[in-house]
Amino acid sequence: MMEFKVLGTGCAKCKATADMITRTAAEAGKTVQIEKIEDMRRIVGFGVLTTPAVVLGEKVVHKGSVPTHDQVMGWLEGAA
Amino acid sequence: MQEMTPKDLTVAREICPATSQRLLADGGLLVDVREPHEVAQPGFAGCDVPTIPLSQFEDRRAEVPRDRDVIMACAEGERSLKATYFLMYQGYERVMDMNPGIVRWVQRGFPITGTAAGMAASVGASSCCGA
Repeated sequence: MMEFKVLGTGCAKCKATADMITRTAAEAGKTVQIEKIEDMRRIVGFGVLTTPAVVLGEKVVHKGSVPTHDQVMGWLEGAA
Repeated sequence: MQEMTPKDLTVAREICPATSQRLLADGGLLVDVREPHEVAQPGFAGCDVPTIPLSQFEDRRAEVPRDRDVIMACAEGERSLKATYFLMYQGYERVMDMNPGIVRWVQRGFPITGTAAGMAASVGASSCCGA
């Protein structure tokens, strides 16, 4: 199972990011676990200043916007 | 995407505007992370105040000195707290957040440039969705 973390203090774009990962994973038939991290100290603890951001495993793979469908599909297919 | 190592940051030191005044008198530096359209309405005065907008902070954080007390400030303390943690992530040890920010600074009657009338534009500015 792939473990994603969505970093952001709870705005609409952060929710859209989690939704995009969920929808794309379902489309790809992948099982994912998504943890939303909304605490600022933990968010910046990943070295991230611009949110929403996405962490796959322990690596920041995206920051500053809602990822596209193709980006998420790339992560699911191991291109991250 | 640049590889970033996760760190378990300690809780940031937060200080009020009155305590900030004491630290500034002892050689501390106030850094304003509000955006350019906010900094003149009103601005911090009575001390040197470099401005590094949060939207530019990743690129410009090297402008923040490591060898003196640094007080991060914004309108209400949320964006400056984010900048404080970012500096802590980068290994800064003498950094703290002024909370609340210029809103309380004005209420306490500390020096400003401009007038407090435009302050409403800054209040409620979020640090999410972008910097």
